[in-house]
Amino acid sequence: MTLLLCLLLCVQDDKSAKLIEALGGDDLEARESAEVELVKLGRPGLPAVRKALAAAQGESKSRLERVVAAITEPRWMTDVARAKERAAAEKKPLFVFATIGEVGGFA
Amino acid sequence: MTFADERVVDLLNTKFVLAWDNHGTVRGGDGARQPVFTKEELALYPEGAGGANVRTFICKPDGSVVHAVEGWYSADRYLEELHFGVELLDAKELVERHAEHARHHRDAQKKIEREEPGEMAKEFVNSAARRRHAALGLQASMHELAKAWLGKEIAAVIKQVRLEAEASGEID
Repeated sequence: MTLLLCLLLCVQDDKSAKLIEALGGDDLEARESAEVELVKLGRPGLPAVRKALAAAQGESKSRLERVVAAITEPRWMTDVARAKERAAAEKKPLFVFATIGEVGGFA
Repeated sequence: MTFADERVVDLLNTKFVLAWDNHGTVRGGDGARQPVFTKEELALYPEGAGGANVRTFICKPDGSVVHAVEGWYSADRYLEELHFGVELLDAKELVERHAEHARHHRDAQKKIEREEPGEMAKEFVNSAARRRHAALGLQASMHELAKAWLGKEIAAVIKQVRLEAEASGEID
């Protein structure tokens, strides 16, 4: 069981490392795609992303920051009507937080 | 701190499309905005506080409301309500399910009253049982109040929330 877990973690690390490398590559499409895939990888990929972020600069840094935010913060839309359209299109339930206050004020 | 809790964030990001509706600036103070709380301030914010100023609506993909949560809760209690809301997405008898949940919380309150009468006489600050009792009461009230929103379309609900806030003089 422990061996299997280690193997899974290694595969995960390897995948994160490849995506992080692609994030800093020459191909714009590959960079865009790597950012999306890192977000999909979620929390298991966070340690590698954070480690890379510490040394990153420029566009790579911005992309890695966006990845961290997309994984660790709620992905709010501030237009309820558009969020409803998206929920209908994706057939996903809609969560609406209604406050007197800015996004982030209660976070 | 609820939206800093990774269990809450992961559930929200994976299960839902998320919308935040800021329905106005606080009246007075030259258009001052609601203050942004620090982590330390939020840690001291009492559960259930905020009332109608802080509302969560869980809706089906078509925008019809299945659950409404009023006020601010700890991450654990908020998660209980989110999971209940997720269960309701496929439920047919929404009013009955909320009434059942309200009864469940009221019964739990009565159990504490029966089993820990000594605790009920204590101050909140000195009694975990008293605080749990109060939180159960808030949750029961929430399910009783949710009936007003069930099945309604979210745009109409938001409009009503804004009108209520304006009428109460809370926002400009």
